[in-house]
Amino acid sequence: MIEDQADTLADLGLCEVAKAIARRNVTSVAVTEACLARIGQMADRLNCFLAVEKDAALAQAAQADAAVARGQVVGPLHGVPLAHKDLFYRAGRVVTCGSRIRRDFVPTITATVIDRLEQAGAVTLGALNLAEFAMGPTGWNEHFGPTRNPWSVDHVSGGSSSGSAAAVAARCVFGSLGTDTGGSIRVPAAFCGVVGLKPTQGRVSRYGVMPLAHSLDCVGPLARSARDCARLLSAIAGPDPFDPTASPQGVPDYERELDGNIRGLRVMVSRTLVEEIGDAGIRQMLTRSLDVLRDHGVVLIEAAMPDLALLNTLNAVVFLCEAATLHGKWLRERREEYGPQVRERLLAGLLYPATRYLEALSLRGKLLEEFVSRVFGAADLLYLPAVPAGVPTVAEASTRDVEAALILNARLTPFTPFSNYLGLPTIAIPAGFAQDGLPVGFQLIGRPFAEALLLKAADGYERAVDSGPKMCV
Amino acid sequence: MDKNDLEVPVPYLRDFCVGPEEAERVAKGVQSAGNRVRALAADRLTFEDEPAAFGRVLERTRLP
Repeated sequence: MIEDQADTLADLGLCEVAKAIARRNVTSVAVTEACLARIGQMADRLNCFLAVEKDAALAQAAQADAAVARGQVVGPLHGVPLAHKDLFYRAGRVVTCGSRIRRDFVPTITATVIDRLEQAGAVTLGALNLAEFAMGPTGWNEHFGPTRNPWSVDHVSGGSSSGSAAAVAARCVFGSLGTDTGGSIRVPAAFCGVVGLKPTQGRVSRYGVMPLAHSLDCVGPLARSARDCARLLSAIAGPDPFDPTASPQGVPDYERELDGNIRGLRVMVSRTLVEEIGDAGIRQMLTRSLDVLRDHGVVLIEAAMPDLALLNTLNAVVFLCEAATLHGKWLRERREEYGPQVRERLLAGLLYPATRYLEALSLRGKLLEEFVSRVFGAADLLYLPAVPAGVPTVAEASTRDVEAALILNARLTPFTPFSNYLGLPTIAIPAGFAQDGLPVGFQLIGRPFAEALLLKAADGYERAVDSGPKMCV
Repeated sequence: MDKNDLEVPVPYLRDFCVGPEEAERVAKGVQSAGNRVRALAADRLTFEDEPAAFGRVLERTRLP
């Protein structure tokens, strides 16, 4: 396949390519080869793949094409190449979790979400880089190196789902799964200019996913449009007998309501908060996104924000205590095998008394109820910046000064961990590019299980700004 | 931060072979978060609040 054809195919959206395969306008093998060609061009520069499974992917694609030839399209992702953060278990395959400790770990089970994607017909291209054990908003990885940003290779992609966002933005795959415990889907989505959705706590099964903090972890999609995210979420959401924490609520057709109409939608925002952002390029793009929403009929409701810092603190206590518990044995026996940034964060979780942890968990229901009443009593959605600071350089993220690294992490995440603590669904949406040419994103937050509304709003915004796919480096 | 939060856990970190400087730094990082949660709990937590309430509120406050 010549390079131009490969780029043209790889530049299609996930839903477009699924439709083209199902209609026999293109084969899954051709699409998979196009993705492999993009990976060949990009993956080394970006360091977004930890493993490329070329032969297995082409065999899966050939099977998908044979099924189409027989008139069998097995599901809405038939023949579509995807790859995921390397912490989703696949029986018999190494899953590193971005760590030295699990460099050779071979699980005996397959994650429910991976099973569901394959049942929907997806082709798996390989495994994607991530921050070590999914800890770190820059995506820095001591063992496998940083994932670089497709819009500027001197900058990081964000994390912890670093490879997912970079591979999607670079057109190496049509979509990817990530996980989010404090912003790990939304931060890289914002830094790479793609859409990332953290679902409601319990909306998506976590069976067979390396945990970080049981009470907070969410699995969600990253893709180049809201519609593509909707397709992926429809495939993975829903009850799971293997995960008792998965909600029994039925799953709607998330694509059905994507009609582009956002008129009359009530969105709460603090313009003051946006105006206080120091980076003029980010401020300008966020202001423009609010203007676009308003000009397309969204009712912006100005309001002071709840105390997000307090909610973030509660998230940190739960997160650190649970993560330190999970890693306790390795912290004792294999301390030197952790990168210093991750090790020091984990150690902090050992210091909280059990009563602090239980206080943070016990306050969760009450604070969620208050938040929902205050915000969603007056509005349908809440608007926040995704990240109020510029994308860090690789040099900034790779500092050996742990204290500096933790300060940088905190600077990137004032607006993301709270929705994990409250369990609320949140979507990160591209808002354009700052003066340095790097992407800027904003978030919309909804009531519990309001994923359909979030996707509808994101889709409406995309149509309003006509933010079709753009090619990066 | 009260004594129980700082003085007990720092020796505990020695089980994890962490030097005293790192242990002190980690402990100090915990200080403000622990204090905020403790103050909030003292002010707001009642006998009716418990971790499982969160799941019920999540289901109850969903979109109609």
